[in-house]
Amino acid sequence: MKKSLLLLLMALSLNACHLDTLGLVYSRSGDVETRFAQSMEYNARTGYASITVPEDNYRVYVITDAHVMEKETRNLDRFVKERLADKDAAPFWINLGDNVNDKGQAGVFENHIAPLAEAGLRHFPTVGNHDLYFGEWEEWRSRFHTSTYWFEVITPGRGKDLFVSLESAGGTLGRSQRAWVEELLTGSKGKYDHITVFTHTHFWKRDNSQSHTSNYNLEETYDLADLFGRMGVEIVLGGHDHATETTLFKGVRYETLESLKMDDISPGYNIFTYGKDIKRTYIPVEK
Amino acid sequence: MFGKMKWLTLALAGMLAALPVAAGVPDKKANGDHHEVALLGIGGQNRTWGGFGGGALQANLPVWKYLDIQTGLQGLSAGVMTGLLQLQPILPLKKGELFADVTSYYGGFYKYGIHECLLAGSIGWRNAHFSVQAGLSVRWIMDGGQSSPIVEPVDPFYRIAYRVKESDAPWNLTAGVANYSRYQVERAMQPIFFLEGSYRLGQHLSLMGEVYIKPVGMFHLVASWYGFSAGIGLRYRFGL
Repeated sequence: MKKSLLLLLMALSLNACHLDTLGLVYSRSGDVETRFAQSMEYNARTGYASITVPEDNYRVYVITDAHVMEKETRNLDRFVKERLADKDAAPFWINLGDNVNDKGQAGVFENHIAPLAEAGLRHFPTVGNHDLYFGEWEEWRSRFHTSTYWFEVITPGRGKDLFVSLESAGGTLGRSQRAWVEELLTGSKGKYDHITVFTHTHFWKRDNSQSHTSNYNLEETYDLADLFGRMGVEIVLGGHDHATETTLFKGVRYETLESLKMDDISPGYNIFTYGKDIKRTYIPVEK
Repeated sequence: MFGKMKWLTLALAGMLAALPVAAGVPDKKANGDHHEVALLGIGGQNRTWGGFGGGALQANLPVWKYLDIQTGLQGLSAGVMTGLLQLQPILPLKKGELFADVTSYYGGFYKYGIHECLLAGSIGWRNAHFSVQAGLSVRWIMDGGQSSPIVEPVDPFYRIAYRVKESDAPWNLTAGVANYSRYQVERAMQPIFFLEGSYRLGQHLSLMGEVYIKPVGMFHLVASWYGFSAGIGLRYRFGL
């Protein structure tokens, strides 16, 4: 009886987020170096985006950790509806990854965000660990193409803002991506009003909101914290933790965002208003 | 507070590693443990630093039947210096011994201007071959005063190890997993797999080696290779 109960609890805990248990020891979506190379190959073919906005102040909608499945899209649908209703927000939105909660659900996510694309709103995603589970990197890549890239927003009077997407679903940027972002940030110094880095994995662990969740090794955490501080990054957006946290370190603001996942404690999304500074507004999605 | 903690950890670890019998404190013990000091050369590779090298000094001081002290000091070419000091009160049992552990750790990542201090408390049980330990830690991360320290509280602190032979055997191998070594303390979900070995060269001198394997993303990210470090050196055992 006790053994059965223990097995049941283990099965339930694993199924709560449909974990790729093999992923505990082995990535079925290849190495970050390979994924980075594939992202760079796409970027080389298509270039990087420049988006012009009509006002110096503009709103950017950001979601993370939607974790949709076939019958679990209510929160995502609400986000889409509310984003469409905001006609004056910037013509793009950012997604920090973990679109799905199980294999084979990438199409569900893409179908439910389709109205945003139909309205001309550009999607800037980065891949999350759940998007890579069960070997689904190719599935993600076929739909969203690249997880390491940059784009800029051009304002009429305030200059330009830089947004940089980094792939961190494996807990490391890898050597090549690390070199790429340093070169990009070095070349961007003095050219942008605000520099934003967005990625899936959060940097700090100031609470135990998801005690089983790992992030970067400490050598890499400190290396990137130093890099971002030296290179004038103003804000780093992360998800993964399903709980909000704001940390200031070496002059950089680290924002870990609430998840959009159904049945999480405080599901919602965030709006960042870029202007003279960057203001964050959390929008809860009612249960 | 953190400056004092840093210097206290480094100073005590250094002094104790270098002068294990300075106070004439006798070593113990039922299982044959003696004061030991070791000097190692370190080399390794990881995704952040690429290749790196350095050196380490470590000591095991079974100063009393009821108290072990363990220390480690490491300096790396990556611009890192770390020190760890462990005080382990012991309660001998009929089988093995219970121990508590108070760990003080300092890590100076001078290349980045980032420093960390950590305090951990844990309890464990060990015998001649097997050791298991679990507790909690709190970490402070500082950037030299530019920001308030980041506090990462209540993170598990653990070590599980198996030693093939008794401690005074001519050779030995110890394998295990932990989130800490003498030179670093990782977050709980970033385990470090290790293999330590020794081979006696003479009455007091042994050759020793150690390998630490660090993956990343094993728990709820996507498992990836991160890096390793290895050390080889000489250990001197007193009191034989």
